[in-house]
Amino acid sequence: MNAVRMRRNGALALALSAVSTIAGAQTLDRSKPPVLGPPPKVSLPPIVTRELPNGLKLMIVEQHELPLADFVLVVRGGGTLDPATRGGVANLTSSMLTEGTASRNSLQIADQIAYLGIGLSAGSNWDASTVSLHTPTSQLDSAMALFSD
Amino acid sequence: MPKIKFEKYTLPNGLEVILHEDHSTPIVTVNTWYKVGSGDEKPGRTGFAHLFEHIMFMGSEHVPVGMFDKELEAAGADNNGSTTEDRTNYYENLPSNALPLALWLDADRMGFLLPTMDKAKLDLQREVVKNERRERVDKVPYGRADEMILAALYPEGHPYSWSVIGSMDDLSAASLDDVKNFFRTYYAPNNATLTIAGDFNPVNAKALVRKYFGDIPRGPAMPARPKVAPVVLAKDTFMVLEDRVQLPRAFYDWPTVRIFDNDDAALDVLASVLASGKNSRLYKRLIYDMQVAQNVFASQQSSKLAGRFEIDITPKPGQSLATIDKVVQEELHKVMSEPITERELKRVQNSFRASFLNRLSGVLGKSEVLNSYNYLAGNPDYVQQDAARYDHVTRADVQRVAKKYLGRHKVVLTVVPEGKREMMLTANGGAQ
Repeated sequence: MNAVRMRRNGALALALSAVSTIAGAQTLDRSKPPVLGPPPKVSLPPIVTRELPNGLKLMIVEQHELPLADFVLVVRGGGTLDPATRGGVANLTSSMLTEGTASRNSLQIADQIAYLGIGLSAGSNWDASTVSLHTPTSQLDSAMALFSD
Repeated sequence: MPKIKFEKYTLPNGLEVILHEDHSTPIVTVNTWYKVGSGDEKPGRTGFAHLFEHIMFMGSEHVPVGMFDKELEAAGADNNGSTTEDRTNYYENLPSNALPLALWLDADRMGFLLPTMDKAKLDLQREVVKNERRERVDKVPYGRADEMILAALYPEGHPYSWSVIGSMDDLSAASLDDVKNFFRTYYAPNNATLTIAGDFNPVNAKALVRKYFGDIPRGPAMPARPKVAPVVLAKDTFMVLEDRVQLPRAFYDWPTVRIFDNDDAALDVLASVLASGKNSRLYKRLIYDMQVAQNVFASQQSSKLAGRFEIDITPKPGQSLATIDKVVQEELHKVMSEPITERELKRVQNSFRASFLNRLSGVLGKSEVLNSYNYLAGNPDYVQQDAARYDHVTRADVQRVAKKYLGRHKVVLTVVPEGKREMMLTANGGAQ
C-alpha cells in the first residue's frame, strides 16, 4: 500500500480548564467540549525480582493477553566506557553479538531467528548495552537457547 | 491464533460501529475509516483524498481551528490520519477518560465540516500538501520512482495508475467546489466505520456514539466504485530516470493479484523467500556471498482492487547492475523451475505467524486490523482466516505463482545518477 501519512504538528499544549454544561436529553449542544472524568489510575502489574546464583538479577512481569514474551538483558556499560581513541566500540561490540557465537555463525543465527519467528537484536546507548528478545511463547525454549548463546 | 473479540452494529444513518474491549491498560483508540482513497479519484483531480485528509484537521462548525489538537493534547492524547489508495483513516489514542472528547471531535468533522470550510483553508492545506510532495517525493533520492512505475504498470485511467499524493498540477487545480463535492459524496456516515478499541464500558460507549453521531444525516448513495480488469502487460517495459543519487537502483515490477486473492499469500511467501533475511535467495547471493549489493527488497503489495510484486536492488559503489540483473534472472529461474525447500517454507510461515501476533499487541494495531478486515474482507472477524492462508501455502503453490506472475511481462525502472543513462537495465541486461 502507498500510505501517505499526514504529519501532525499540533499547537502548543495549554493547560485548559474547560467548564461546560451538557444540554439535556432533548437537544445536544455540540458547541462545548464534553466534560471529562478524572484521568484513569494506572495500576502497574507487580514486578517480581530474583537473583541467580551467578549474580544475574531478574525482574519478571506477567501479562497473559497474548502468547508472546519479551526479554531485555541490560549490561551496565555503554558508550561512556569507550576508550578515548576507540569511540564506538561499545556499539560495535553489541552489533557483533548477532554475527556469530562459538557454536553458531551469522547465517545460522539469522536462519534460526527467522525460523522461530522471533526478534533478536543488540545495541548500545551511552549508559548500557542491551540484548532484546521478542518471541512467541510456543518457541520459548528454542528462543532462550539462542538468546543465551 | 487468537481471535479479536468485537461487537459490530450499524446506526440508522449507515455508520458502522465496531467495539473491541481491552482493559489491560487504561487507554482507548478511536479509529474511523472513511471508505474512500486515491483509487476513487478521477484523472485530473488526483491527490484529493489525501488533500481532504488534511482539511479534516482544519476545524469544523463547533471546533475552531487549533482547538482539535489543544483539547486532545490537554487530555493526554495523540492523533493522526493517513490516506491510501483504498481508504482514509483518522485516529486518536487517548487515556480512557477522554473517549467522549474524541467522539465529539470526530462527529463534528463528519457532520459539520462544510460550514467553516473556505478557500483560505483549502489554499493553506494545498500548500502544505504540495510541500509534503516536495519533501517526500520530488526532493527525495529515488522519490519519483514509484509514480513512474505505477503509470507504466497500470493502464491509463486505472485507479492505481497515479500516486496517493497526486500531481502538483492537479493539486493546484483543486477548487473549493471540487472539495465540497468530494466531502458531500464520501464523508458521510454511510461510508464510514467507527472502531473503538481499548478500555471502555460498552453501554457507555454505545450511548456516546448515539449521542454524537446519531443525528448526522445519512449521505447520498455512494457512486459506483471503480471496476477494473486484471492487468496484463503486452510487453516488457524498460525505463530510466535520472536523479540526484550516487548509486543507481533497479526496480522490477509485475502485475499480480488483489489482497485476499487465492494467490496473494503464496506471493507474500515468495517475496520473503527471495529477499527477507540473510538466508533469503537474493540477499544471501548478492549481499552476503558476492557483496555486490547494498540492499535488496521484495514484496507482494496487494490492495483492494489489484496488486503488484516488486523487487528493488541497490548496488554497492562501483558494482554493476548488469551483474546483479544476471543473478536476479538466475534466481527467478530457480524458483520457477524447482520448489523451494521445506525449511524455507516453514521459516517464512513461522515469521508470518509471529507478525500476526505482533499486530495484535496494541489497541491502535487492533483497531486498524478490525477496520481493514471489515472493509477489505467484508468481515472484521477474519484474523484467523487471514493467518490460515499462510499456513495453507505449499511449496508447489510458491513455484506455481512464481511461474504464473514473475514469468510474465514486467516493468523495469532504473534510477541512475544524473548523466548516467547508460547504467539503465534493458532487455539485454545491463551495461557493464
